[in-house]
Order: sequence, then structure tokens, then C-alpha cells
Amino acid sequence: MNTQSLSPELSAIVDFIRQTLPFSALPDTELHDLVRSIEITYYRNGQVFDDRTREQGLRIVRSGAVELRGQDGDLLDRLGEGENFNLHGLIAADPGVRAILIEDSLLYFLPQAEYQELRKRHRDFDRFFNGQRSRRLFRATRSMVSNGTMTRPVRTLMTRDLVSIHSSATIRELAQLMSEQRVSSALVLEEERLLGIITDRDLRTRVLAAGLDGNAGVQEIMTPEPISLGESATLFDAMLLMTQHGLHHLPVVEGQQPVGILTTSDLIVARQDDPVYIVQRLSRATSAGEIHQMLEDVPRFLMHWSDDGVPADQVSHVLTAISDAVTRRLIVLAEDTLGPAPVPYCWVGFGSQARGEQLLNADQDNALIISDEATAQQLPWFEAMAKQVSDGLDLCGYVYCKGNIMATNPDLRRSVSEWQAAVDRWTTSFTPRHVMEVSIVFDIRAIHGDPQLATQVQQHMLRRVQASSIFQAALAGNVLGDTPPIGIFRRFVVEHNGQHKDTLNLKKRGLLPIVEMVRLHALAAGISSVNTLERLQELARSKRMTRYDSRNLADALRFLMQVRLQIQAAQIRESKPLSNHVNPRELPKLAREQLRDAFKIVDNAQRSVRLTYLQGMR
Amino acid sequence: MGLFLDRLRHRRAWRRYQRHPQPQPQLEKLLQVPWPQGNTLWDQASWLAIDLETTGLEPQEGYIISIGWVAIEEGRVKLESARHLLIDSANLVGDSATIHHIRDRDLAAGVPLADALLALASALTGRLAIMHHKPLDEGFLKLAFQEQFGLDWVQPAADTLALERRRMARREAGIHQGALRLGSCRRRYRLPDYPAHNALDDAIACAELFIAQARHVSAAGPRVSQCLS
Repeated sequence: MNTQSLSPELSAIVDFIRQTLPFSALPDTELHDLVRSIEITYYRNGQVFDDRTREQGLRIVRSGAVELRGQDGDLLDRLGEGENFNLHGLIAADPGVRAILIEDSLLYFLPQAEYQELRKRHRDFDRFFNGQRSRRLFRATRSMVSNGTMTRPVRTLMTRDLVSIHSSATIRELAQLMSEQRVSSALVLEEERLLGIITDRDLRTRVLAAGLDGNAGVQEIMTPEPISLGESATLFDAMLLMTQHGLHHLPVVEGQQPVGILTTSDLIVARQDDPVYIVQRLSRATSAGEIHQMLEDVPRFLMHWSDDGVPADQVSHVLTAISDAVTRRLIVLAEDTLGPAPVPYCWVGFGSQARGEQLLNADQDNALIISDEATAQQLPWFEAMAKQVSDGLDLCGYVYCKGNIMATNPDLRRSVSEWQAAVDRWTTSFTPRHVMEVSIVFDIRAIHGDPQLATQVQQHMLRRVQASSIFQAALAGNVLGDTPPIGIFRRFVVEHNGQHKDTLNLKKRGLLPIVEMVRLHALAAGISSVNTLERLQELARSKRMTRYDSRNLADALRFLMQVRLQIQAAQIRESKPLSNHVNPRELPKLAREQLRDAFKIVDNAQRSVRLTYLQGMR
Repeated sequence: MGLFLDRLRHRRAWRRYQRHPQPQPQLEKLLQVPWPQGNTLWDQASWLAIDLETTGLEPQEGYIISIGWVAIEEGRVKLESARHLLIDSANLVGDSATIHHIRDRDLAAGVPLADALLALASALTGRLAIMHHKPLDEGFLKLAFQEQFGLDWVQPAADTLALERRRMARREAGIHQGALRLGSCRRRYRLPDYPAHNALDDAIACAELFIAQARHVSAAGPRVSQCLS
């Protein structure tokens, strides 16, 4: 008999560890193994761990609380249940760090050898321990990415039994294979490499309808170099790709080698009621009223997504995709009534729509860029079109912009060269108020029409802003106008009167300062991306910002967006009017702490803006 | 005093077991390797927290259905030493199986009681035991060792329940009904609630309670003799 073979269950401990970061990223087998190396310790309030502590390794707080203090005794972090610290790692980065128990605490101790071994084997696990200080936010945003359907990787749903045929086969052989295997598509391969895809629809339209001979080669009817995606892409990516390109079959590849296939019906099975299908249906709507009706369910979807833990940036991504589709459909409908456009043009979105960061209560910020060839007689067409689209947007819930940043405003309905001249004026003579008004225009994205026109204007903007450090300073001044709501005692500064008494405006005090700062850095660096997270990535890549700062701001932004999403979801559930106000007292303790961390990061980043752009200016 | 008497009984048991026709090597070792001295500091001694799941409260009427244990070395609960053995016994029935969520399927996967006892004896060698409410588990184990191997099992043990009762009496705190249950004791030391209810989880819970109790005695902690009851 071998009693060793009956492994201990230790399930209560595994369950606990599994819920903590970054252990949640480890596979179950690994968790069961590592739990056996754990040593449980208990110490009383006041116990100190410092450089004299002999045992090295990771300490996980099972119950109780720990403070991390620096050499000067300043508080670095406070850890509670489920959080962990590696004292010697902290000391290596920051000599003199001590950990002090502030409650009687039960600690799980993972010895150094096992801990380092895990870091070596698992990249995500390791990454968590680099950049120790802002881990709380990192934890917050990562743990929100739960098991929402939309965020599942494609590999969880794709069909792995591929039906493929060699590129030298005939159409008849292919048709036989497809009916034998009872599939609606087949991949055309050459030496394992994906050459093309053929669907039953191709057999109908490209063979039967075209009267093609069954002895012709499959290469004649295949779609060559089909759009595909990697197996770690999310279902959400797949849906968007299919919707955008009107695809029903999506090969999944690793490198050039196909590993699976995903069909629209797979996705429908995965999620019956997905808002991405709204995008599809929108393109068939015949009036603004009909569009409005189709959008009826969107708030409910937002609520479900929030509950499912879909990351806020992805929710915004989809909501922006929906408003893009609404705008496009309204423009097409306007073209139907007014006749085709007399000259090429581009309808652009500004602000949150441009950045792909909309939630529900977005107003419209848009403009028209018209080709230089337009004559005075042709301009009324654009005026009428702008009015019809803008009215339609308002009817659909994208209310008129209070600042009149709309294509109906003649100042925002100009030719390319007029736009460029306007940019020159803004960047040479400006007042602070003026800067605030125009800053939103620097987030620009083509929604419909000829994107080249938008690119010309944007490139001009980037050149002008890059060249003018005075204008950068003015933008910086604007950025510093909104300060994060934490006082010197790290208490929240809340509104003191009016409808939003005791609350703070998450958008104005947290999100916008980040967006504006990142915009400033991106413009100064000549980066053409407008999405804030993308801008942050590119700033880090081009070394205009340290990877550390970039990641911190991204984490803070993601967290604030997530809180805003949750607030909106709660408001929808309670049928309350949507707002960006939150009462910090109504937040759970951890979220309150995380919010404070996020604001702290905004505060630090603002200091660095002051140093970089305003030095010597005041 | 308790440890001294245990040593005498232990030696007597050893002499008797030497006459056993088929002595088990695990048990011979258990009887030969000495226990830590009474004046040793608690965290310099080796301990083994043990918990049994049984049917009924009387050893003569009930059965052991599972045994869990975990060792404490240098004041740390070593999870690598954790074991949970289900006892294979064909005649196990009744409500207790339901209470402990033990199903027929689990019992079928169990080990014979004799094998489980030998494994426990190996784990106990050179160690002192810890139990929560020692009289109950001790009674079952004494009878089992006697029936299976003809051994007079003698094992000095700390009883976390008795330690807690002593502490509360010293503080002149009234002891309410249920105040000495494992979970209630743990809460007093801010130890987390454990959801599961099996012999290993309870052995670990008991081990944690023991460390917490020791840490609350004084900075240096108690000596072994102070822990034993």
C-alpha cells in the first residue's frame, strides 16, 4: 500500500490562493503543487520583518493586515487579505523597507526557491512582481477581467477538425469533400500554409451561377489570403472582424499554419444576444426612428457586460463601434434623400468618439472635411447633410454638443486647406479659453467618406503642435486645470453643494485629466493614434514616456473607466439618470483605496507635465 | 509531570511490544525515538496536529472514517507534511457519513485502518501531538492501535481546547456554550473561517490555532511542558 499516493486535498487553501493575484494566472496543477510548499505562520500585531529576517520568500496575507514602510518610515502600501509581499525583493529595490503587522495575522509563506521557480516558469506571474508599487491598481484592473464570454480566447470556441484541400485539387473534388464532411467551408492549403478559403456560398456564386466547370482548380474560386486571426484573440475581436468585413468563416492561425476555424454560428451559440449584431442590423435601418429603436437594448447590454466583468475599454470599443455605425447609416440615409455628394468629403468624429472611449451618455462631436475642389454652389449640400445627420444623432440619443462642436457649425464644415489654415491660427494666436475649446479637435478620426482628407488635416495638426512649444505649454496649462480630487490628507475632495453634493465627478476629475495629459504627450511626440491606451503604448515604445509611467497611467485609466462603467450599469439597473458622479462613501473599501491610488497617479503625472511643458513659463 | 508519566507508560508499552510475534517496524521506531524535552521552547519542538472523523462519540461503538494530520516545525505549519486518509471499511453506514460528506464512493477509495495507523505512527515519530478536544480522538486511536496491533498507544499531546479553556479561566471570562468549539476559538485569534469540514482541514485549523495560542502566551512563547495537558 502506498499512503503517499492519496494526495492531500488542501482544497480550502488552493481555493483561497486561486482567488489572489497573481496566482489566479497559474494553472490548477501548478497551484496544487505550490500549495504543498507553503508554510503557514501566525504573528502578532507589531511583528516586524526587515533585512534581518532570515527566511526569504513570498508572504501572502491570509488574514490580518500589513504595512510596508520605507527607510524614513513613510507608508508605502497597506496590504490586506489576499495580498502578498516579497520583503527581500522590496529591499533590493528600495533599501530599508520594513513590513509591520498592524493586526494579528495569519501568513502563508512560500519559500524563496519555490517562489523564484514559479516566476521563472510563468511570465504573467513574474510580470506581476515587477513594478511593485502600483500593484494595487494592476491587481484591480486585471482581476476585473473575469470570465466574460466576450473576453474568452478564440481557441475555446473554434473547431479544430479542419477540412482542408490541396491547392491543386479540382472544384468537383472539393464539393465532394465538403458534402462528405458536411461542412460549409474548406481551407485551401499548400504545404500546411493557408492559401485561401472556400465556402459553400462561393460554390453557389462563383461556380454554379458563373457556369464554371467542375474540373477547374479550386484556386480559381477561393478567396485568397483570407482574413484570419490568432488563437489567443478574443471572441470579441472575432465578432468585430466578422461584422466589419461581412464574413461568416474566420480561419484561426498560428503563424501561417491554420489551427482552427470559427463560424458565425459558433459565435451565435456563444452569445445569443450580442450587441455586435446591432451594428449589423443598423446597416439595414431606413430611418433615424428605426435606428433609435434598435438602440433600445444597448443600456441593458452594457449592464450585462459590466456584470460579466468585460473590461471597460472593450465595452467602450463596442459602444463607439455602434455610434460609428449609427453615424454612417444616417449619412447614407442623408445621401439617399439629398443625392450623392458633389465632391469627396470626410465625416470625422472628435473627442471620445475619435478615441473609441464612449460610454452611454456621449454627446456628438463631429465635423466635415470637404475636398478643396468644392465650389461655393456645392456647399449647401453639405449643410443640409450635416443638419440631417446631426438631427438624427440627437434623436438617437447622441445629443447636440453644447459647445457646438458639430458639422452643422459652419466653422467646422470646411475644406482641407481651410482646416489647415484654422489649425495654423489656433496654434499661433490663442487664449486659454480658446485652447480648451479646440483641444478636443486634436482627437480626430474618420468615420465616413474619404479618410485621406482626415489624415491630411491630422498630419498638419501634428506638425504644427510639435513645432510650437508655446502651444504645448498652453495645452499643458489646460491639462492642469482639472486636478484630481484628493486633498493633502488623501481625503477625497467632493462637491459641496448642488445636485451632486458629496460626490466627485469621475470623468472631469479623473478620466479627462488622464486623457488630456496623454493627448498632450502624444501630440508633442507626433503620434497619430488617438485612443488613449494606444497612445500610452506608443509613448512607451518611442521612449517618450517610461514604461513604468505609461503602465501606471493605463492602469489608472482602466480602473477609472471600469468604475464609471459600473456606475452607469448601476444607474441603468435603478432606472436613474446617467451621470459620472460617484459618492466615494458608497464604494467598497478596496475600491475607495484603488480610486485614491488612481488619483494619486494622475496627480504625479500632472506634476511631471508641469515640469516638462511649463518650466520657465511662470 | 504529564510528560514524565507518559514516558514511563511509553517505556512499559515498548517493553510489552518487543514481545509481539510480528512487530511492525513503523511502530518499533515510534516507540524508540524520544520525544522533545519538556523544557524545550514550543517552536523548537516538532508537532503533529491530528484530527479524526468518526461515527459516534464512543470508541467502542463507532469507527474512524478518516484521519488528517499536518506537522509543525519551527513554529510553522508545513503543508508538505499534510495527509488525509480515508479509511476503507465495508461496514460504515449511518448518519455520520452524511454529516461528514463522505460517500460510499469515497470509502471505497480508502485505505485499511491498519495501514492508516502505520502511516500516522511514522508521522508521529519524534513528535508531540496536537488535537482539539483530545479525549475523543485519543480514545479512538488508543482502541484502534490496541485492536490492530496490540499496542498500548501512549502519546503526549497538546489539547487546543484545554489550552483555550485554561486561558479563558485565567482571564475569568465566562465560557459560553460553544465558546470552545474550534471555529469559536479561532475567531478569538482573528483566524479565518474555514468553509470545509474534513479531517485534514480541521487538523490544519487546529495547527493554526495552536500557533496562535502559543504566540499569545509571550514573545518567546511557552515551553513544551506548558502546552501539554
